[in-house]
Amino acid sequence: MTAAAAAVRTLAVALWVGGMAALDFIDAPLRFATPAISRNQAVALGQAVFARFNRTEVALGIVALAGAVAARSPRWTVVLTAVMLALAAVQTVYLTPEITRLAAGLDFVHRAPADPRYAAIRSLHNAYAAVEITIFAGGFAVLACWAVTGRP
Amino acid sequence: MISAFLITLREGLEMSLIVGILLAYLARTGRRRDFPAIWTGVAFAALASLVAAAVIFVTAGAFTGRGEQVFEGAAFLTAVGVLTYMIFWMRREAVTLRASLQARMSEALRAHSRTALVVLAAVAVGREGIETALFFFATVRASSPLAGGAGAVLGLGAAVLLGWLLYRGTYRLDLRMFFNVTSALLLVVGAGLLTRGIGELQEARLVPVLVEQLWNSNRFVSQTSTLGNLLEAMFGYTSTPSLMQVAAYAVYLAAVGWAYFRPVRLPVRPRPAEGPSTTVEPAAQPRERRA
Repeated sequence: MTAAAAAVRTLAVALWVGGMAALDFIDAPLRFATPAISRNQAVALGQAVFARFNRTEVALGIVALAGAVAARSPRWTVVLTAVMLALAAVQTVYLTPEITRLAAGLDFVHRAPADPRYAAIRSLHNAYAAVEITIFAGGFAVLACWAVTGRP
Repeated sequence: MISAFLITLREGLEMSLIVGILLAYLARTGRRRDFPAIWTGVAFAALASLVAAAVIFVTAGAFTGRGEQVFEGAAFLTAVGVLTYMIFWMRREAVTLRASLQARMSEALRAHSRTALVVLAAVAVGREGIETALFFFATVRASSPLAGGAGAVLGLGAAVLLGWLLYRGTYRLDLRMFFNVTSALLLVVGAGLLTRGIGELQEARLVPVLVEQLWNSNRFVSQTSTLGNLLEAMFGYTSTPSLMQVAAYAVYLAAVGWAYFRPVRLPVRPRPAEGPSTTVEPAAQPRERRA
């Protein structure tokens, strides 16, 4: 039972962190670099992808937290998983929807400098990045702990 | 201030006990020369805790308006979850904590690795420190920076003093009683944080209120009075609570309180000659230090 819970927990965090790495470091930069789609299309695509992935993150976080508790994982890894889940929830219920709402109808190719929504989006984007880095670092730390100690 | 004091006292004493156990083990095995490795680990843990606190406060600073409400609500609810988990974890692991730490210490010493000692101390103390950073954020946001900061400093100071006295063997404390009493008080603090978290999420329109104002007790204890502030910090007092807040408070206290204090039937085991140890012993006795 403990071994199964530990396996589920590790798989969930690995999928979570792996998914983040794939989207943040491969998909997002390439979307804006490829000449096949415009910047506005890249932004719209990013909103759709991240909205769906945020929900996946929360689901994986719940599974990971339940698995970590059931497997009686080291206490700090359980705490860190709970913090990561809370941050993913903040992204899901506030940051991504708010960025999407503000970006509706905005042109990211021919910007209107006077429009305050660009600055608001930049501020929210910075918050999103800070949260993303924290989740990524936390996920990396708990995975490293579970791999190095070899204990449930 | 009181809740910050209580949380840092409890977490600080856990840290002090861990350091005491590690130092006592080194002293007993004639490895006093490795004391600096433990203190180096503690320094790394303190640094990690400060970084964690800075990350939480800086991230919170990036949010304004509704975002701030969502972030604070999430932080309060996470703090409640972690606080509750920590209380139950301590009850389950307290009896074996000393043996477990000593086994890991023995493993590190067998490997003749000072780095392993540093990592052991850093991880064992750091996990408490990072939790404290989260709780500190929640209590500071629930009261005021000055009151929360003063409570945290007093709590940590008292914990270090208490830990030192226990290590010196000049003071004996019934740790089981201490942890039971502080656990009960922390459950009440947790219930208060829960209502604050729900309140924030209600303002952000993410949680239903059910009935917006169940009562108004401002005539008896004003929310802004000294007594009101005290009750708010300690019990999460709200003069105009919603039905959802009252229900969450009652359900949390009843469910978690029952789970914590219900009588547990222990498995019958053959009684050893000296009987099982059911309390965490003080970190070291004077004789051990002279050894």
